[in-house]
Amino acid sequence: MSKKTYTFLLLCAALSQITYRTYWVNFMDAVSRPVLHFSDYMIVTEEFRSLGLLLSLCIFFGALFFFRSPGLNQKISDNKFWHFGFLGILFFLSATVIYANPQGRFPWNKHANYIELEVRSRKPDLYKKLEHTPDLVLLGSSVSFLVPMNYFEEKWDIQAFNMSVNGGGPVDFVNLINIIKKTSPDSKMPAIIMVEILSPSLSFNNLEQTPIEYIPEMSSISQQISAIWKTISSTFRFNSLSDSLFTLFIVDKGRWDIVTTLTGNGTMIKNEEDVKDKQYRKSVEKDAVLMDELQSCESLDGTGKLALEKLVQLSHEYKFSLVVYRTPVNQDFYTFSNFKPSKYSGCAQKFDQYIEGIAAQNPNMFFKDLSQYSPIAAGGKEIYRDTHHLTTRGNILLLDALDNEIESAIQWARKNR
Amino acid sequence: MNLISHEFLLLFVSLTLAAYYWLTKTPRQKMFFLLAISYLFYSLAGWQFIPILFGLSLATYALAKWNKFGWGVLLNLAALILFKYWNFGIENLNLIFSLLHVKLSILNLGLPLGLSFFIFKHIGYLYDIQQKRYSPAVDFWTFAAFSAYFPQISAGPLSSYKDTASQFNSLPNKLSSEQVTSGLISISLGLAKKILIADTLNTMLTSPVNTVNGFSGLIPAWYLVIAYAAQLYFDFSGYTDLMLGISQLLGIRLPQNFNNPYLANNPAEFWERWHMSLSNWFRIYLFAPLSRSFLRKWGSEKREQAQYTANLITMSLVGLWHGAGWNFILWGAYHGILLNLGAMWKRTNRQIHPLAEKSIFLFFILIGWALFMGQSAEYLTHLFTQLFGFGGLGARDLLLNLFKNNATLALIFAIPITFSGVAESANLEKQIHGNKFALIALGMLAALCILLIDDQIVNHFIYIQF
Repeated sequence: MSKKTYTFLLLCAALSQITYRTYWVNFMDAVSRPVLHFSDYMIVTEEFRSLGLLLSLCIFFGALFFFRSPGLNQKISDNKFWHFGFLGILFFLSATVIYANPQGRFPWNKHANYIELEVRSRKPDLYKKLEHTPDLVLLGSSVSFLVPMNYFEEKWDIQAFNMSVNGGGPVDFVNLINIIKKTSPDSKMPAIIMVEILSPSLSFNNLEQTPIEYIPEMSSISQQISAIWKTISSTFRFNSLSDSLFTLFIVDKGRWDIVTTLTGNGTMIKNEEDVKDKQYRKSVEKDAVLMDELQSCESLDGTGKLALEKLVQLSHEYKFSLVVYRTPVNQDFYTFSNFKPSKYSGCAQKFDQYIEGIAAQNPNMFFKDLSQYSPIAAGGKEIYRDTHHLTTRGNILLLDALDNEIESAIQWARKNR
Repeated sequence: MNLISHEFLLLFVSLTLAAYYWLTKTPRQKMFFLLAISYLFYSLAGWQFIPILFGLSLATYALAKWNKFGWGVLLNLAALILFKYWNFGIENLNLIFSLLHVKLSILNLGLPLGLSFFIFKHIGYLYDIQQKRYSPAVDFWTFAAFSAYFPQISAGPLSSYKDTASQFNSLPNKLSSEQVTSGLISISLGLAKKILIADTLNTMLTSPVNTVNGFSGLIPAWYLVIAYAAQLYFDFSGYTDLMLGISQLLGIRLPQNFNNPYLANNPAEFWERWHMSLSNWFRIYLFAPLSRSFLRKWGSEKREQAQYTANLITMSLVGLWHGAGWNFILWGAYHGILLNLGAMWKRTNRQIHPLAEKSIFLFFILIGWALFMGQSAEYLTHLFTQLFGFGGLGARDLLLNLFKNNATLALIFAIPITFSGVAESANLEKQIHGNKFALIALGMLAALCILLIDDQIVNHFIYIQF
């Protein structure tokens, strides 16, 4: 084939890419919305990855066909040209990522982080700034971001702080307890720790966990090493580069206001405008695979179990009561997808058996499985943003459902501290 | 360890190379270092299988020394059958025994990484020593390093003890600029083939589209088969280029495994170009002894029958080697028949236009891959029904979905690269020597590929499972 044919094929490839973009991203919809939600910036990231793929394919093609030498068997002097290309591009792109620090992995914040991952490093910072130790601290995943902490004062007359972080799981909770212990304003531990469990498998490997692990208060050396490695490897990823470009040229220039707002007690403020049915259904479908993974297991995760047991041990050591609960799964997850509830009953049963066993042996621990709690689970888009993230209203219903457990935990703490 | 990860490429390979050239001085030290690092690599894939690798290496070395070649071959084959084929045999026996209400239990032993590859190296060694093709290993450690050599252990390329271990005696302290460049070109090409093309095609091939209910129609069916053919080639040849490059940076040259296989004109030529090291192994250690024994038994007047039978048996076993499944055996037997038909056609001395010959042969190769990709009997039936047009051309929405996918983009690039003749590292190296722009482009390409790696997504090389 001639170079002309190849050029034609390249143009076809580029054309197919453009067509693909046009179909895939409803561009007009994206620009008309003033606030870019999490799912939307993911599209920007994926777009960038696709363009990176296209660029790489063009270079691959070029190196094979357009740059080849007409003469064979020529001697080359050295390999510095390969190094120039390799190190040059790696240095330039990784330097951009390190400078922009879009995921808050490095200890400087010259530019506004725009993704929710920053919550992981911002929550402990907020906690350190508290004037007094709160009575209750909520540990959880992003499901609990919108839990209104003022409601605790209204209903139970206690001060509460929301320490839930992205992808928060049992291992993070142990780290967070250690942080709380070291940084509590009046050197005293909260009386009650509430623990939200999203995945009955206790495994959170499929969720982002990095930033919290590099906080120096972390307990194990191996976690620190793994966090350092994750930071290095994420520096060499196209996703980080696209995040950086987005941070530097869109967010930093004030063109998109998506920095998450946290109140002093850790509650996230989110624009909860009316969600259209189609949009809601899309969100549920988008998260269905993740939800399926989170709920499935052959056996419970060993590290997760160890972390939960460590949490119970810490509750005795620091004399706090524990309220553990499983969050309700949106029933629309089953309606809009092909996943059947029966698929998850085995894993859920294993978890309930395990946790109920622990609760029976520890009088300071109160457990409630709300995974099938229908007043919330069947609530649709008034209660859920997607398969598992609750709206503020959903969170209030959840707190009401936990009334007995919270009350008992308060009583235990009053009696034993 | 995932070979396409920052962990392997930026940490394991870089540290291995740095320690190899800074800490070790003599070839002997380097050989011991390679042995240690190879076992470390193996332990990262599953430490519990270390005794299997070590035990089989030790037994093979000792049995060859004591001239107990048959026992050595039997022991290695027994391990292969136990770990790779036992459950397949039991499942099939259970189907028969179900009439008698007898059920044999399945073993959950797991499959050690690269089992069939290192066992084939052992069997080749035993046979070569028996045939006095070269002298036995001088010491066990050199043999163990040959057996466990990490750039080879996951999925080859297979090499003889003589070719690989002889290089252990002259491992260099410093590489020439040409050697380094050649290794880096191989690595860049391997990464590009795997990450840009094979993995992009993989997103489509592992999506719900590629299931019985996911597609229908002639165009989607052929699209999937062509995408699969391209994925297999780019995935496996990408792996080979990557490992060849890494090995070259360690000063050890491994044999080429591919030579533009889709440019072959006939079945025999295809197997001289596709997975060359495995084809050679089967030719030397199975086909040749088998056809000789048939000739002895049936006489030289039945030479052709001996060749056809040996072809059929060898290729069926090549199929079985790929996996414990009937679709693989069927695929192997199909290639045995193709080889025989090719040989018969050659004997007629008839000529057709080379392009027609190539196209017809390519059609048969693709049909073979359709057998190979069969996930179940139901899937195979569906795929073949669609391939031969019994399901219409394909629904508009599905065609649009295929067109919109990144896999189409990768395929547009993959097809001309496949037929270009420069897609193998050895050919490419000759083509671009002396061209600084091409070298810069390849360096940039390697960097971009590393940036495209997402450690959260694990895309193993396909042949590692075989």
